[in-house]
Amino acid sequence: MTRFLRPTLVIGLWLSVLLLAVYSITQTRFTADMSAFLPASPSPEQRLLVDQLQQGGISRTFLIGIEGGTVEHRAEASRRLHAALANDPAFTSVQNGDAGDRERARHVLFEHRYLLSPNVTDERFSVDGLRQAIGQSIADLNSPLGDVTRELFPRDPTGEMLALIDGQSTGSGPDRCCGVWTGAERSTMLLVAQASASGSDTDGLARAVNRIEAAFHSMRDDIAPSLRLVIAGSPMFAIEARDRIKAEVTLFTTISVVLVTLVLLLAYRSVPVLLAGLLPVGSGVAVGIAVVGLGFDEVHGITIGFGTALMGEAIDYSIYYFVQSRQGERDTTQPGSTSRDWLTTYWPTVRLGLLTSLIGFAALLFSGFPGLMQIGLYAMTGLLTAALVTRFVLPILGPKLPRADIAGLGRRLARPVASLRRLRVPAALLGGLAVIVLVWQHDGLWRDTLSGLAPIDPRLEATDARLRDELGSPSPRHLVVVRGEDREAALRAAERVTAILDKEIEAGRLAGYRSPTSILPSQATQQARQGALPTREELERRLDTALADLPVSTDRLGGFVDDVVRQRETDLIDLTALEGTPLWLAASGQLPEASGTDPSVAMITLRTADSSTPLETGALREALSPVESAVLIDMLAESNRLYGRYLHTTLLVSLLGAAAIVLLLLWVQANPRHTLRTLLPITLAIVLVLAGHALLGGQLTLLHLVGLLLVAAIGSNYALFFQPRPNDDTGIDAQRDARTLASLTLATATTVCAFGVLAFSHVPVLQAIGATVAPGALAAWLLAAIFADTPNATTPDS
Amino acid sequence: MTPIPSIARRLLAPALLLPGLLCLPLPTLAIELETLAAALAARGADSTTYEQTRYLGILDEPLESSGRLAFEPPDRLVQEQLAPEPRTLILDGEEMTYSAAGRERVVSLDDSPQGAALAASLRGILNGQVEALRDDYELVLRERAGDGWQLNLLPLTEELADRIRRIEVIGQFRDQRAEVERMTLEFANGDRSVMRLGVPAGDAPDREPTSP
Repeated sequence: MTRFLRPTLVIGLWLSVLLLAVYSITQTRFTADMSAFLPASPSPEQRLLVDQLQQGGISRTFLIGIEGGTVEHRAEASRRLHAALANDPAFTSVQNGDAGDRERARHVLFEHRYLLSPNVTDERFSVDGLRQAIGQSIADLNSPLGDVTRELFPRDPTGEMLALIDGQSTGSGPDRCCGVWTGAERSTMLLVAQASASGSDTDGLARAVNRIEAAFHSMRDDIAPSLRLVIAGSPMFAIEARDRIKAEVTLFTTISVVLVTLVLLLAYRSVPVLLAGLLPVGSGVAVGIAVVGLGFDEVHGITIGFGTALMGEAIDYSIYYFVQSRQGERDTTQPGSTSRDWLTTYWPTVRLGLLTSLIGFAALLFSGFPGLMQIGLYAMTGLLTAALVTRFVLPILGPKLPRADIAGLGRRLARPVASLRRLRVPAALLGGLAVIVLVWQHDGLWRDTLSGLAPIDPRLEATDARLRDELGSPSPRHLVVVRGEDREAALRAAERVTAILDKEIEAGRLAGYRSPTSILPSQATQQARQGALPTREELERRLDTALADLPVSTDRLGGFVDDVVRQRETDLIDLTALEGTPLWLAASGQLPEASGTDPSVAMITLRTADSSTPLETGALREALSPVESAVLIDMLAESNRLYGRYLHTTLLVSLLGAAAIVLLLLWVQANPRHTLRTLLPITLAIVLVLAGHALLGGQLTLLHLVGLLLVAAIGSNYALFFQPRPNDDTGIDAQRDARTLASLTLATATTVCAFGVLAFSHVPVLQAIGATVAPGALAAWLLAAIFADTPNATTPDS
Repeated sequence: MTPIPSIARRLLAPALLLPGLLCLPLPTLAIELETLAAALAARGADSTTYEQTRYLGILDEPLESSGRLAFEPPDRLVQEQLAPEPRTLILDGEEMTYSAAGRERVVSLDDSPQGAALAASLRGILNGQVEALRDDYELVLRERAGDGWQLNLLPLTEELADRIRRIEVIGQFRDQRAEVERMTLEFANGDRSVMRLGVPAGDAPDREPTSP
């Protein structure tokens, strides 16, 4: 009864878990947001950087260029694209610099000029202040610009509008042609569109791109078929990276699977065995993704890409089972005994290999980077599942499946492999050389910039740089960030910062800045300005005195008096009052939405006289010190520091993981000599791979480190299997060794195939893992053979 | 190639769009617009003094200013005001630079609709780039006694008509060249700006070479 019940239970449990996993996967969101590979708990500055990358205005702002056709065609296309997208809910804002946008902006500025103009003070509205300001405006009327100010003067005789426009245009905006933004060469019309989707919602961003393309293509033939659309901006990088990862993961996974299948089919000569052999891997992948999906909000594409990588070790488990469990067939007629024999003889070794792998990947769990944590969790649950399926499910299915015995391969390999042991000295020397190379190249070995992580299409990068350049909005390098418990507090702090920055500009230490407060002053400042505005009677009385010597009289400035009185009592403006104008885009971009318990933030971007002049960050920090929450961030230095920390942490946890593996082996093997022999090949393999990369000039990134962890995990299995087992009796030893050798060779062949293919990928993640694991696995196998101990000092016979 | 039909064709094209303008002063047309344009452009790069008087309804008294105008075909114009305060406006291509009190502002012509339109019109006339004005204005050219000419620019677009009633340019032909003597801007609200060019002496003291 129990003989049948137990297998049924195991199979039932396995299938239920698998079904649950598959269901869970259907509910999982997938992402390709590279910022998952940024740390989860960085310093406040880094947190801001990460937030900006993930959700900030930049992360969802598309730069759109229209090229080809004539100037008029491009301008027409720009206007029609703008019209088509302006009311599309997929976008919060679409700007092409057209007159309508500017008119709306001017209207908002004009209607609120006494709340917005920095000139509005008590002095300005005193008799003397009014006399001086109005006198100046009359002088302006009598200047070459008089025909422009003429229209403003009756309602704005103190010139607040001009002061506001001057304040806005600190940076030179894009050029205009035919009423819309254009590049310097006039060959590209420019638009800026901010998507409603969050910066980390790659699907939403991709839909927004589809809307832009659809709108453009539906109008193109009406205007001129030669028109072209180019789209760039941060979200395009995310979309492009995701699409490329998706495509390459699919392609290379398919190639790997085909190759591995061929190798296995050649070895097993049985389709059912092949399929059964894929069960542990398949189960591991499914459960792995499901668990990551449950543990994290979304599963990263790279985690899935890692599925191929995971196959490398998990497929080994079934190879070990199917190849090794044949042994004893001749010794017994009972079908179950071969499996039982495998469980007692080999399973402990696989289990130890599994444990070392788990420890290796657990290191990733402590890295503090969501992307790597996902890979760690995925690899751990996947391997564990694959091992459990090998341990409990395959012994039920296995005995029923006929398969070819590949012990012959092992026997044929035995002699050449045994002769490999003569290479110990050369191998050790090579290892020594590799160490020297590593010590010598130590400095340049690891790439310390973030740039290597995401697959960036150089053409897209060039387009982005070009459009950005033409828009006159280079990515700002220096930011001052202030915090407050709400937006008002943040704006007030920003106003204190701009007061300091104004002094820095006067002193010539800074060329300029862009602050949200020049568009949206704090409520406190607006109230103070309202407080400076006199009542109607008072204003008229003061004007009468002030205008005594000027060629204008109070009764002709009725529009001015009305506006002052109205704005004295009007509602203060907030961000919503700016909606639909370019002002909103500018202000909201520098006022990121407060998220959760985080305080509100305001950002001020700084401009140096020219890009070659470095900003005196030390002096500026000192100057800003009176504003407690103000932090000066050098984006470039910060992102590199971020990555440096990332690398450092991961290296550290990897070393800790390695130490844990050593301790585990010491404890389980209870023989330091064995442990040393197990570790030597793995260590040498890793050192050789590192040295190889160093010599070939490829700088290593974190992803190579992940690959090395995998080499350690796989290599530990090889080294353990090459170790002579205790209590060996010589009778079936030769047969056993032949099967072990065959299974290891097969496992290495599949790993090298699967990962060797990845080395040709253009996605840095896949390429790095492939280029590390394929040579690493091969080296680990060779070195394990070279340094394997011979218990009886005799070569195995035929 | 008789003058009258070709002028009429050109004048009729915009006129068909605005039936109200069909009653054209055809009989007085004796010179062609091209002739004027060529004669204006024939001066090449040149400079002249000017005096400008603005009559603004809101002010009790007219505003007087003076300085030098320098132009260089096809599209450069420098208005250097010397009195009452030094101010410089440079129009070069699509860029407008305004300098006052040691401060310089650069704006794109597209960016500053009203002012730029006027400045560009002024530039177009002085440099003989009359063709470019056709999009915005209906051009009416008349001969005046003794080799004189008068060009009236009437806004064609509603946007422009909201601001400008008329631009009147008066000048004289001398040796195959056309000189501009007076430009009058009449605004929709009745304000008026009159610029007299080539004013001799009178403001001699202001013509010291001062550079801003």
